Amino acid sequence: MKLDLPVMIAALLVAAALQDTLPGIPCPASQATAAKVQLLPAVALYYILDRPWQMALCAALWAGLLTDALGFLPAGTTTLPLLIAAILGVAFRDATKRRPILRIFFEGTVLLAFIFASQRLRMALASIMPLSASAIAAEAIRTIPPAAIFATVAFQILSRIDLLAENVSRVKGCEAA
Amino acid sequence: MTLVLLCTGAGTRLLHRTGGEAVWPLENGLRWFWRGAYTRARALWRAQEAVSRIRQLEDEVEQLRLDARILEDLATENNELRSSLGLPTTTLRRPLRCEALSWGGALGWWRSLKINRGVADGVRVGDAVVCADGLVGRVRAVYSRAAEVQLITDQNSRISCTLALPAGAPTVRGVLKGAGWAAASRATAHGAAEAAPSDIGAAKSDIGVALSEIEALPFLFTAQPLRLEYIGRAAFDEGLLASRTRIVTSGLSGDIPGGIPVGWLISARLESDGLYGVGEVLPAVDFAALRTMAVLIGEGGMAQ
Repeated sequence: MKLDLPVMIAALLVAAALQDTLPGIPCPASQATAAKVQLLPAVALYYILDRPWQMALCAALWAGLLTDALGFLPAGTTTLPLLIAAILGVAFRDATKRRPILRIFFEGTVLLAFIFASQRLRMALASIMPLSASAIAAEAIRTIPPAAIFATVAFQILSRIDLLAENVSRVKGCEAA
Repeated sequence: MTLVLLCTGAGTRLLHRTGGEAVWPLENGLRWFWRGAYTRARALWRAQEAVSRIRQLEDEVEQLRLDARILEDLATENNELRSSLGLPTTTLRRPLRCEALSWGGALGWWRSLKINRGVADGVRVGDAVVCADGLVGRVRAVYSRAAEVQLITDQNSRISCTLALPAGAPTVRGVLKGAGWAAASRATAHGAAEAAPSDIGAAKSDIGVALSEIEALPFLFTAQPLRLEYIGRAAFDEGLLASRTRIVTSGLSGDIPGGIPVGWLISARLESDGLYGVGEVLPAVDFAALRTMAVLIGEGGMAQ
């Protein structure tokens, strides 16, 4: 029996609990709210870059739903952009090659920046939390790089777990039967 | 179908509840680990301190038990007097001790915290959360074993308040609004000094705080000031808005009882339309040092 689903669910729940529990990164300059590092999209990145498209969309959907639910955001704020990112990522990726760590970090930064910008745009359009450009930029600088680092680490850990669980074979590009 | 539901916003409450319920066991586990492992390990290096601290806390607990017994007798006598005068008796709300599981939600954008009490403990949406210093916030979402609390400093928070004035003075009410992001840059003594009007004096329509008083308050500016809006013009005309006036809840905000301290008035000014005024309020609670809290549950709930 393949353990793809239990591994995904466990990874998403652990990321959700950590994201909710860990303190945010304060901004000494503006004394604004301590924004939190978004770990859920970082976990979804692994499935977007390295697993079948069905799992990628599933992970993106659940990561987005959990982020919106726990962050008290309007439904779809994170889910829709994450799904769009998953579709684009699956369409343009090359899952047969091993990815260097720096490339994962770069792709994670791009994904998280896209998610962050979509969330802020949605909130601004709904007049829920209008912010100055400087405050948004400061928050992006504080939260996106750490999230990209976490995405890189999570990528390695989840790859190993899937190998151990025999969800993927050691030959790159071949899913386990 | 999921996408359609998401786009139309259907099932949002179910989504929030499901997410909160799914994450609570892990959060509680992390909290248990922090208290059980880290705290005990730290206690090994601080055993002597812990012993003296325990004795001090035991004495405080005994004193508080005595005070509570006296206050219960007073409450009973108060209700008897109220019933003899034909007035409705006050609803007793029992404090249920709680701890914070997490702060700020999953994104840290909202000024909120999650506590380890939920529906199973009798907590309901709208219940007040307090600490020894004053009002912390209001419960906005409840799960089976946890609850989400909106702090009074959240920009979406609205609490009806009144000024604690001497007996005989007219009632002055206002709506306390959390400052959120907007006041972050004003949370300094210099910021408040710049915000004070240039012609500081006894002008009835524009009461400010003397610069010397502002400079004496920098130690208090660790929290973000709140805004008290819709202060009636009469309060300005009668000179009732002195600096450092205590502000308490009015009891008109749903399930939040009246008389709970909220903060102190720093300054007030009349709006341009001349109908209402707005004031800056320093919160009574130091949220950075907040540890022990309690939820005020109604008579139908369960207290520990």
